Amino acid sequence: MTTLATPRTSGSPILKVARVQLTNRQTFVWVPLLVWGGAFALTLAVWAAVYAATGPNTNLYAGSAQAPLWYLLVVGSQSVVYTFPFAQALSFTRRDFYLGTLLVYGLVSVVFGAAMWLFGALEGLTNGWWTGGHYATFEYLGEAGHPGYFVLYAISALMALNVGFCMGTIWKRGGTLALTTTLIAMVAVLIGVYFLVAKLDWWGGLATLLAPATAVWVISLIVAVIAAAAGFISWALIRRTPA
Amino acid sequence: MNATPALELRGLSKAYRDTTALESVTTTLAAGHIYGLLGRNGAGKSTLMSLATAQAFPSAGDALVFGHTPYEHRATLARMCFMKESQKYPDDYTVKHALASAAIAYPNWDQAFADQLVGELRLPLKRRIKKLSRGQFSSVGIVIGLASRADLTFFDEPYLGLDAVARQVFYDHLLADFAEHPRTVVLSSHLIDEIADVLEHVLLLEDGHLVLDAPVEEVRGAVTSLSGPSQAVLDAAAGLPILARRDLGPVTQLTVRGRFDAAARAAAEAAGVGVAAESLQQSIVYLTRASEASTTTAHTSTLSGGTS
Repeated sequence: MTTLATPRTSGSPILKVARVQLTNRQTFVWVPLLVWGGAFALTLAVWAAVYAATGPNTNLYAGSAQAPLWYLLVVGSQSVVYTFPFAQALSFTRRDFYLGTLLVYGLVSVVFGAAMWLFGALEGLTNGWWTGGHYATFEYLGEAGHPGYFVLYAISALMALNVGFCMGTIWKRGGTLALTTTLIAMVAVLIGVYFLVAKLDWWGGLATLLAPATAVWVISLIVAVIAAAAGFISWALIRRTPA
Repeated sequence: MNATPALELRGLSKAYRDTTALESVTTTLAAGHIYGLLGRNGAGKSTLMSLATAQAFPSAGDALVFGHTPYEHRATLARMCFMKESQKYPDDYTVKHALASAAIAYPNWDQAFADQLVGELRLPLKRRIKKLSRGQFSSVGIVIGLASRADLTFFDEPYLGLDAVARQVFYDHLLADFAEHPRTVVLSSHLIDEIADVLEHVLLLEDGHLVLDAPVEEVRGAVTSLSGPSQAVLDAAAGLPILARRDLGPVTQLTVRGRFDAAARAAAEAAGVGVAAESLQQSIVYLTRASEASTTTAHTSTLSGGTS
């Protein structure tokens, strides 16, 4: 018989989980690149068409930078629905699974943030991809190359992954009913916040907070709070979620 | 040898909102043996294995693996392998991905062994797991279960969908590898005779209750079928508990609890009585029916009543 005395594991289990998460490169590398590149290419194509029709234009805006974030939301929920039961079968602890997954999320977020920052810098250098378009940078958030972009995009990716993970955990723990209830509650809270702002007439304060000098940091902070909250709820739930 | 049991269940229970999946199961699985976890669909086999591996949580009682509660205990978890019969894999995983992940996770993983099994089971490495046939899906669990060489390995309905060749491959490799690398193996199945030949000990679940917990040799042959002229059959069965009786004119077929050694068999046969030991499956069916009929409260039947 083998005994427990001899250490047989090599490498940290948290790193092992991260390696398992990256075993299928499609999930965290190729498909995100495709979504990202695809959305960007389509945006450029649309701008080129507009440019061809109307000539130089400085007011072209696209929201397609958020396309990868929607994909990451799905990836986050799949981490729980599919990968978590498999990680349990592979005998990882819930803690190691959670931390290893978070490590990969962090890695993906940093890469996304850095790449979007770089895109922003290129956007500035090329005067909006030669069409006056705004894909990665927006005047009210800051100049192209502003470090706030890196933080904002990285933290947004982490939020998408964490919120997806959290929704997956709630679904796994309580089923569709629990998830739907949670989503309705979240929308209710948002409406409540809007109601408060409108009722107490905080628009002035909000405008000061979101002034060009600080907007990118304030928004990053709000996104970070959401990412952290989703992370904490996920951890609290997954500790007692059956595989 | 390690005296610590591989698995110890103490009053292990699992209740869902309106059903009881497992009802106060208490038993000990010594290390280094092959156990059969038997029972009909829905008897509680998967629940028991999920609780034992801390993949699910008991309503009451506990499970100790090598003396430890496995929940969040790295060293204990690392000694176990349990791929569910309906195991979920990451979306878009191929067979290759699943095996690569297993190689990362299990400390005792044997890649050469895994490769050999993949070849013999004809598993298509590049095919997505969700596109596999039921038999191929079972084979993935078999390869991971065998090549992980975990000290406590659970195979959940390993024969599901397997063709005859694949069954033989599993059977041969399980026994050969078990001999070379002794460990504790739990095979769950709803078809007893499918796995009867490899088992050393049987655990039978019925509606969440552990109704039989005995070494195979105690069960196999514990039920004997006698047939021949009525009086001769009744004489041969003298004193043994009768489990079933069928009369066909002057001929009687009697199923009795008890075993016949060579001398008893020779004597019975001399009187014109045919003596046949029942298969493991038949023995279990008769014994559990008998225990249900005689006791409705005490659920675990111990086997005795042999004769010679």
